[in-house]
Amino acid sequence: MSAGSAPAASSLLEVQDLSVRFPGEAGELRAVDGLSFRLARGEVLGLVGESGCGKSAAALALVDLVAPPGRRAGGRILWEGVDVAAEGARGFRALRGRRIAMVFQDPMTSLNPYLRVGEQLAEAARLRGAGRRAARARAEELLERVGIGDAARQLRAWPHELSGGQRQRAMLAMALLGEPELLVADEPTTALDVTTQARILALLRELQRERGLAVLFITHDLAVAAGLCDRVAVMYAGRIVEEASAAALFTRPLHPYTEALLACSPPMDGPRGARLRSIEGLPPRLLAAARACTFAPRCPRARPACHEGEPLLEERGGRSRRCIAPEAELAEAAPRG
Amino acid sequence: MSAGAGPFAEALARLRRDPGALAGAALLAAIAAACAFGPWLLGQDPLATAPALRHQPPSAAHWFGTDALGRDLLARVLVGGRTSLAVGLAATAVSVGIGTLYGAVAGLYGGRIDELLMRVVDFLYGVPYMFLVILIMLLFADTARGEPLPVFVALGLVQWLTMARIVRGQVLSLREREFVLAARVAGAGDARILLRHLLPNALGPVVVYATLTVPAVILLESFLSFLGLGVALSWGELVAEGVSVVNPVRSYWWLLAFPSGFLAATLLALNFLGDGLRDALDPRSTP
Amino acid sequence: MTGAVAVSLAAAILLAAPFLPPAALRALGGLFLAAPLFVLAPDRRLGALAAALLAAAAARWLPLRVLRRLTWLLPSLVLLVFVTTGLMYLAPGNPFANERVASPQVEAALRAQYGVPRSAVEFFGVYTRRLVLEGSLGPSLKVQGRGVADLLGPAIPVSLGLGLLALGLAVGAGLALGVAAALRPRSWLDHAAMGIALLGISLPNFVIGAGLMVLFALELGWLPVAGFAGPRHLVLPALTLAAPYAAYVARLARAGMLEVLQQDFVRTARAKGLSERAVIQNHALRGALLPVISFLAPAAAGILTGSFVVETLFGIPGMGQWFVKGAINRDYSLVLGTALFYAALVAALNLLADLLYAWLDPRVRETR
Repeated sequence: MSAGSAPAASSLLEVQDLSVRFPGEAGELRAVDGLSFRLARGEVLGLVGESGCGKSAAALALVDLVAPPGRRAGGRILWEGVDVAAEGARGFRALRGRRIAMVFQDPMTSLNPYLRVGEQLAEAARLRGAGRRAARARAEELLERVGIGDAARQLRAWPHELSGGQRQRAMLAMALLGEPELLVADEPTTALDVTTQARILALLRELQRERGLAVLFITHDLAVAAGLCDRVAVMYAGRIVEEASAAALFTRPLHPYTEALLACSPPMDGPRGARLRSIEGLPPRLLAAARACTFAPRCPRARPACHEGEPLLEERGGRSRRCIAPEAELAEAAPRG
Repeated sequence: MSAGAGPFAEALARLRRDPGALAGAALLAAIAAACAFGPWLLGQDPLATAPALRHQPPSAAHWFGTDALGRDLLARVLVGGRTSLAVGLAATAVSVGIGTLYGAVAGLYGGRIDELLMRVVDFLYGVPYMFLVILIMLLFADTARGEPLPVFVALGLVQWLTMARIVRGQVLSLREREFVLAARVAGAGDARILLRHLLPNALGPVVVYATLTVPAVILLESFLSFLGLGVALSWGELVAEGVSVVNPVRSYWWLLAFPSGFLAATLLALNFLGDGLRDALDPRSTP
Repeated sequence: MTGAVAVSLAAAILLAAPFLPPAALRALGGLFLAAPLFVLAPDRRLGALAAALLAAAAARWLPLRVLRRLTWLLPSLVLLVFVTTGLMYLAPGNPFANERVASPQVEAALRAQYGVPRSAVEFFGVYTRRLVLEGSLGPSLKVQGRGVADLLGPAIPVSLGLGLLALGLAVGAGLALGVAAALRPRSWLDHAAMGIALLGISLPNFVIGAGLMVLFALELGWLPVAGFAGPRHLVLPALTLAAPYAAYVARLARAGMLEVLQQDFVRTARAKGLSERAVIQNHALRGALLPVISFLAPAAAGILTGSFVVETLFGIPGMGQWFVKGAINRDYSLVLGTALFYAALVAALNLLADLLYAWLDPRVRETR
């Protein structure tokens, strides 16, 4: 739970104590369990965590698109200070596309294979009130902007005729046509090869600066988050365990999990032949409410107190952490450049 | 230990939890039992005519009433059930037999042989098949009226095409999997691979389709009966008789209701069972 | 001779079709498309010219997939006619055996007059030649003085009308039911709709027909019972024919719709901010349509054969009755006439379904 729950004045989006649950064979899985964070206008926040930690579920929950039988099970989502759920489904629908746009992970399946690219894009523009011709013009304009050459012809192309990178660019264009204030990108480059990945990220950065977009960037790749984001929040077992500015997080991690994650990436200048490091143990099964620190079973710094109660997310000096180990202990660890 | 023990056990468990499929299976068993043992237990002769008792509504003596010749309808329905079920099973067996073999060969050998075999299937598919079936039955009606064999063959011939396609598709996709490669390396010949490895795994859709073919065949036979071309004493014929006496003056509703009821119940049961099997074997197909 | 040649050629083309190069397919496909035009044209020379033009245009512009289908359309028809002829010759009895005077000379004379040799292949040759060169279906062997075309002519619009009406009803009602059920899965609407659908495929259509007849014609008197004197007489028969197919379509549409609704691109559409209605109409509906379109051709074929039964039940003077009469009376030409009609119709519907599917699913278009 967040220790400070008064919404900051400039917050565009504030999530308080969000929960998402999925029914499973053995009980209900708590994919997201008490997630809280704030996103300011124009800020790029990275949400980092390993597979299965609930990041995608959280993203979908923001616009109430969690696929049934999963459901948003609690918490508040505040847009510009107003509780979205207060207006029920309509509240969320007002956000979708127009305020919050989403770009998903798999461009292959995220575009409608039965419609031409231009049609799908123009649809987004028309939702903003543009007439048919204006919508097509805007679609073409944006395709150019995202780097798809010969945009006029590509408007008439079918999704299966585009490459993976082109498809993701098209998805970006489609998202931007809605003129959103927040872009939620759920692992947008994971399905692409490394070179294309770099290009798409660069494009994203340009667009973000150009339009002053707030971005919630979800990824499991720390390096990517470091390069792109202003602030980074680390997620584990459905909740945030640490949040800080990118620079601070990567140079001075203050949570054992973050520390361990960073240690897993072998440094370029490290010794050859050294063993790759990994985090021992497995991520927890998400069935019961946490009664102790969820990371404790795998934590090299665990102490008896860790098993007795759940640590709160504490904010201090512009960053938060959910750990009872003293900061000094973690700060001792070798700094990373 | 056969390769498919695991997935089949899982599928069976899923099937047990499906109320529709279970109800269908139970109903089917009940009807089959009634048809098999009923006439013997009840002692009424389905063929015994009694002109004095024509068109009697249901009563204590005749639970389902009597028909135009005074014959007991209950006995006729039960004995007719034997015929219809037998026709359904036999024709399905024919189609499964031919279709499976054909499809397996096409899938296994692939290439030109497959193209050729499937070309024949595509052609036959385009032929208005029931047309030919009806033609055959009409042409041989005088000499072979009421005989079950031509009907079995004709109906089975109609259904094997889809079975062949299904099996071929399955074999084609299974052929490339590693376990087949492993078997070949171990020296297994084509026939052995087919029998012990490919077919058991292709079984799923075959079973589903077979379960859904039986009702289709029984329906087809009822059409033939309506045109006077079906097997001697079957539900189809009884229903056709019931339909033929529909008139505004006198209603012999029992002649239509009971045979139709049994027919519909059986077909419903089979369809539920077939659907249940399909969902059990491929859970992704259910929402 | 002609007969044997025609059959061998047809069989050869059919077997060779998968191996033919595209150029050959284009040529043959165009040719076969134009052939009926040539046959049906009243003026031979004009017909030949028009046919040639059509063949050229088709070969140039139609997609290869369509041309491939056309390529084995005609050979299929040829073989069908041959097989039907063979069957009829195989069956006991012949058209002239029941005449009052059954002497061999009279029979030979009748055979010569009507052009019905003793051998199936010969008859097939005569029939084909007459069909192609004269565009004629020949005289009816049993109905004195009437040509097959005369007899079938009035029956065609009746059967076509009935069949198309039934098909339309089946697809329309089935789609509506299936999509509605898919939008509220597991609700009472869903269960009810699927229950009705299940009933539709578990009852023979003549039982449904009898039921409808009793209810709407005998009891309520809203619609005529039987016979044919106008479109109103087609309503009950069409409903009867359509019922089982509507049921199939409903099941297919529901399954297809449910599957599409789970796809990622539907999620994208929602994320764009589209209203649920727009999502379904513009994005999800195709998923429901595609399996239905694939089913169209077999459905049409089924409706055609179901029409035998329904036409008999309701006393509709359609093709079905001529087929049955012809087969019973061994009226070879009549039977072949109906066979040709049905086969051509099924082929046309197959083609239509193919084109529709390609239009809806662009991924299918380029391949092969």
